[in-house]
Amino acid sequence: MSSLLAVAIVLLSAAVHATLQLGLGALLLLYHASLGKHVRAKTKNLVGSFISGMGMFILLGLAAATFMIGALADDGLPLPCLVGLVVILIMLAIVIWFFYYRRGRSTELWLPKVVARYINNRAKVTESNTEAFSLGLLASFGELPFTLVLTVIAANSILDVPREVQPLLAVVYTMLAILPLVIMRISIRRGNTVVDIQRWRVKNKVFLRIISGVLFLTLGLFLLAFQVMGVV
Amino acid sequence: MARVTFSRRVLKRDILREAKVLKIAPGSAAAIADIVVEKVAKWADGRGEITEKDLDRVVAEKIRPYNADLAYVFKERDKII
Repeated sequence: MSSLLAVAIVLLSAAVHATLQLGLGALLLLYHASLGKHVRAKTKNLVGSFISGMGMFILLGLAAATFMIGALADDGLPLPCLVGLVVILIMLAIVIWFFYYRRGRSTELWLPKVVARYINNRAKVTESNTEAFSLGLLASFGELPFTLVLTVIAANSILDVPREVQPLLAVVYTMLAILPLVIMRISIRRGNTVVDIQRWRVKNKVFLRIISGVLFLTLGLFLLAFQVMGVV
Repeated sequence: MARVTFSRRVLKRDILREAKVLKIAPGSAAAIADIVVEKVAKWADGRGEITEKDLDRVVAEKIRPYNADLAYVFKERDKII
């Protein structure tokens, strides 16, 4: 596989990752809880720690997956694995379209109520940077059913670029994946309130769902065309 | 469904906290909180059991004439993720 194609797959995987909503929702909860209790400087630190936690989880996960694939398979993932990944991506696209959000005018997700309540409660009682960092880790962990396959695909492609570029590509993936969180942070600092953002999310829920599903499907078809068919 | 015991003090504290999030002036927030707490107390009076969801719904209803954003916060509670 050419380096250019590998970079394209990593960027597309990161774009898909960025469309997931659990991290954004958890950050919004943290913002909401913190703004009601603390001065703005403290909220800024907590939010920074949360984003760092999410970024760290993504970066370390990607590094671990790259190392494992590199150690286990010299030429990257074998064809049956790639086919499996394509099938999973198509299934995830369907899940995103039909089950990702709960029904009604809210942005409630597929999460079991107990998990959602736990994240909600954690966001409310988060007081220190360490707690905010671990909340970021927790939010990333909660997204694993969707992000695991993206991480594996990106890791497999990272191995196809020259060794000296690999860390940079992993960092670019992470930056892209947390970009919506950074945009939300900037948006609130520029004067938008938590209510403005939540109203926007509710209003554009269908659009976000469609975009996310389409990107999952696109990545699946991309892999099918350039990696599976390319190998066959 | 989580059941709660209505408390004027807790509700007022909640309203003031949410008002701070929305950058509503403290004076206006306190005035809104006092009016809404009275109205909700009247609603809650005599009711044996109140769920958290019912309380948030009624608070949102009572706040709406004074501040739509503040009402939205109560309406959307626990519905973000």
